Amino acid sequence: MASNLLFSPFVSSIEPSFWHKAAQLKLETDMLQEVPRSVWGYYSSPDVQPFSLSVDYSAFNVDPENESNRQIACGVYLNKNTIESFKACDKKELLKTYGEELLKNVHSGAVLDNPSLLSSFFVLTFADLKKFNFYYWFAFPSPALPAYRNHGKPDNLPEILSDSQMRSLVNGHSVLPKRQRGFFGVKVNDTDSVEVITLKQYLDLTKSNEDFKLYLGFVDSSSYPESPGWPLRNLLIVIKHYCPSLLEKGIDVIALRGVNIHSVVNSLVFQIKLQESSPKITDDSASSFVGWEKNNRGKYGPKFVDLSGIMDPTKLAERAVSLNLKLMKWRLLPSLDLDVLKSIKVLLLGAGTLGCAVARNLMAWGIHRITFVDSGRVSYSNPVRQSLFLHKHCADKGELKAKAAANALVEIYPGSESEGIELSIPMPNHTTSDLKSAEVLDSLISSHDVVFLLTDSRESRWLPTLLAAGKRKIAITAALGFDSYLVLRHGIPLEADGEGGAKLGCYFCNDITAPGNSQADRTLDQQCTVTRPGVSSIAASLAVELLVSLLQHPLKGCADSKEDCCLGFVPHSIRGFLAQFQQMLPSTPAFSQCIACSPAVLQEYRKRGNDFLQEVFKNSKHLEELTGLTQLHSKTEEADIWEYSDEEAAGDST
Amino acid sequence: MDLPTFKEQCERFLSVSDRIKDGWTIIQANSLSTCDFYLKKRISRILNVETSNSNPEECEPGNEPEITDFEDPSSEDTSNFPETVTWEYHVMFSESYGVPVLYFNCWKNDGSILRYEEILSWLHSEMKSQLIENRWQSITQQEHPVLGRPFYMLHPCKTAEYLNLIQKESSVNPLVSWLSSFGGAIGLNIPLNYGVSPLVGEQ
Repeated sequence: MASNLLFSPFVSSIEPSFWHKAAQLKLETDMLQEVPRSVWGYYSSPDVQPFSLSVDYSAFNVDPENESNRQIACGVYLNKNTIESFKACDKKELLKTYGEELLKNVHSGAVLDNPSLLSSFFVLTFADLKKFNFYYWFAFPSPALPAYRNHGKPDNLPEILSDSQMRSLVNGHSVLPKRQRGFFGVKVNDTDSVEVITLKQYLDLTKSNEDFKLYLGFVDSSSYPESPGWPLRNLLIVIKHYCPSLLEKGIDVIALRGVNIHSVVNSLVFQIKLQESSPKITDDSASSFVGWEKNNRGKYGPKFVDLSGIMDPTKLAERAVSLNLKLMKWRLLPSLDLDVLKSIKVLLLGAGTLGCAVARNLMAWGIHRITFVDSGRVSYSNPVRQSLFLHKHCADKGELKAKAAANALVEIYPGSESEGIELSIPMPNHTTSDLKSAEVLDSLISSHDVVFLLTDSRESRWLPTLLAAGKRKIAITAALGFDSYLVLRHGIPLEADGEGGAKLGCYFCNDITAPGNSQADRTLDQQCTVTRPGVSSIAASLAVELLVSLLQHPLKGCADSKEDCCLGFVPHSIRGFLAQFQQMLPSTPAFSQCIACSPAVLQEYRKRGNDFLQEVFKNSKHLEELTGLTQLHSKTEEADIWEYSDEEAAGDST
Repeated sequence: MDLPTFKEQCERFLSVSDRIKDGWTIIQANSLSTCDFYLKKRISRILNVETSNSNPEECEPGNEPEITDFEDPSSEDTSNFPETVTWEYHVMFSESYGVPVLYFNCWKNDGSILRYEEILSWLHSEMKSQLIENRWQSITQQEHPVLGRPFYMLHPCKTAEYLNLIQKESSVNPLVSWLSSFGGAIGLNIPLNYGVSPLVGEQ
C-alpha cells in the first residue's frame, strides 16, 4: 500500500542559556544593529528528545560543540530592534531568501562537503530586554515540492539487517567525520558487516554498476512510526538534483533512530518514490518554500516567552536575599516567622547616624518598606558616620537627608519600597512647631506598623511617643550619650482602652519634667551628638534586633519584658556603657502621670487635638499640670526637705 | 568530605554510569575554581497536563494576523505530541559545607524554567509532602556557581548530618547513598547497579 509521505517537522527547543547569551550579545555587542548571526543548532535521534532542534549558549560560538550524540544544524539568528519591525518584516520573503540559499548550497555541491547545511534553520526574534520578554519564530526552510510517497509500511531495521550488521552500522557511523554524521550512505558488503560512507561517496556509488545493496541514511528526529523527520526532506532534494532517476525507481532510506547499540533497533527503513500525480513543478512553485514553525495554538505565528523570573536582576536579588534569611530558618530556627518581617512597614524618624544604621539592619532582615522623616540636609561631616550617604550627596548645600537615604536604599536593593519625607517634628516649647507637620506625622504613624525614634533631642520624641501610644503602634527609641546608649521599646497596654493591664514604660515614663528646649543655652559640642562612633551602630543594631525579637513574640508590642520568643529575650530596654563595655536590661513600668503616654495625655489629645498641641508647643508646663506632675513636684520638694532634715538629724547625732 | 574525596567518588560513580549507559558525564572546566568539576546528566520528560497551566493566548503578541497560506500538505501534524521538559542534574561540591550538592534545572521548549510550584505538581504526591514538610523543603533557586544562571538546588545544610549517619556503617560509595536518598525527591533515579560493590557488579 502506497501512501503519501509526510515529514514530521522539527520542534524548536531553546535552552535558557541561549536567551542569556542572546541578551548579552544584544546589550554588549550588537546594540542597535540588526545583523544576522550564524548560529548552531542540534538535533538527535528520538531516544534523546524526539523532534527537537535545540539551541543553547554555544549556538553563537565559532565552532559547534562536540557532543557525540547530537547532530549539527546550521542556522541564522535574526534579531529585530522593535516589535514593529519584528511584525512587519515579510515572512514569505524571508523564508524564500533562506530557502534559495539552501538550494544554492545543494546545486553548488557545498552540502556534499558539509551535509549539516541541509538541516538549515533561522530564527526571527525580538528581545524586550527591559521586561525580559522574547518573541521568536523558527523556520526550517524546505522547497514545498515535490511530494513523495511511501512504498508500503516502513520496515524495522532488525528485519533488514542482522545484529552484526547493525553493530557495524553503529560503529561505522560513530567514526564518520562530525559534520558527515547527519546524512550518510550505508553499503552492505556481506551478511556480517556494512560500510558507512559519506553522502558524497553514496552519490558516486549510485552510478556504479557493481552489485551491492545501497541505502541512503540520516539521523532521524522523528519518533512517529510512518513519517520520517524533517532532515530527510532536504536530503531528498539533494537526491532529486544529483540522481533524479533514483526517486523515480524508489530509494531505500535508513532512518537512524538511535545511535547506540541498544537504541539502533528502533530505526526504520523507508522505501520512497516521487508521487506520480505530483503537481508539475512550475517556475512559481519552484520558488515556493515551507517550514515556518507553528506556535502553541497550532497556528503559523510567533511564540512568546517571559523570562523575567530568571533574568531580571531585581528578581534575582530578591531571591538571594530571602534565601539568606531562609537559611536561618532551615538551619537554626524552624519557628522563625519571616513573613511578618516581609510585610511590615517601618517609619524612621531621623535619617542621621542612627537612621542610616537602623535602615541597613532592617534591610538585612528582609524588611523593605521603610520611610524616612528628616528635615536636614547631608553635610560634609555626615558620610563618614551616616552609612547611607556619600561625599557627592553633600554638594550644593547637600541633598535632603530623607530623600537621599530613601534613594540609597533602592540603589542597595531595588526591591526596597522606600520614601523620604522632609519634615521637622513639632516639639514642645518650640515656637516654630506647626500643626500641619503634626498632622502629617499623625497620618504617617497611622500608616506604618513600627516607629523608630532616632532623633537627637529629647523633646522631638514627645509627639511621636504620644501618637504611637495613642495608635498602639510599636515604638522603639534609640538615644545616645558620649559613650553610652539606650534602646527602649515603648510599652503597649494589653487592653485597647489604654486603661488597666500591665504596661511597660515609654521613653518619658522615668522623667518627671516636661520636655523643654534642650538645645537652648548649649554649646556647639552639646548640640551636636558627640559620641564615640561605635555607639550609634551598636544602638541601631540592638534596636532592630529588639524589634525582630518582639515581632516573633505572639503578643508583639504587648509582650512582657520577662517573656521569651524563639530568638530569646524581649527586654524592655537595653542600656550600654562603652567605657566599661557593659550592658544592662532594665525594665520599668509605665508611669501613670507620664507626660507622653499616660491616659490623661492621650485623652486630652483625642479630645482637643490641635488646640492641645498648640498649647504644648507654646508652653510645655501645661503637660505637667495636666498629668498632675506640678502637684507631684511640690510633694517631692517637701520630701526632699524631709529627707534633708533627717540626714541633718543623723548628722547631729554624730 | 574534601574535594579529592569528592572527585574520587565521582569517578567511581561515573564508571558505573558508563557501564550501564546511565548518561552521566563529568564536566571539568579549565579554571582553577574548585566547583568547576561536576557530574551532569540530562533527561527529557513529558510535561504533564497539570503542569502546563499557562495560557498561551494571554501572553502572545497581540492581534497579529497569523499567516494562513503557509499550509504544507507534506508535513505531519505533530501538535498532539506532548511538550517535553528537559531536566538537567549537576552533582557539585560545596567548598563551604564540605559536602556534595545537587543542582538541577528544568525548562520547557521556550527556554522558561519551571516554577517551584510546577516542579511540585510534577512530583509524586508522596515526595511532594516530604518536600514540603520536612528536610526536603530546602529547595531553592539560586545562581549556579559555574554557569552564573539561576538553577534550583537542594540546599546542603543537612547533607553533612546525613553523610555522617551513613558513612559509619556502609561500604557503598557515599555519593551513591546520598544521591539515591536525596535525588529521588526530584525525580533522579539511581539504579541499583550503583549500590552493589564493584566486584559483584563486574561478574
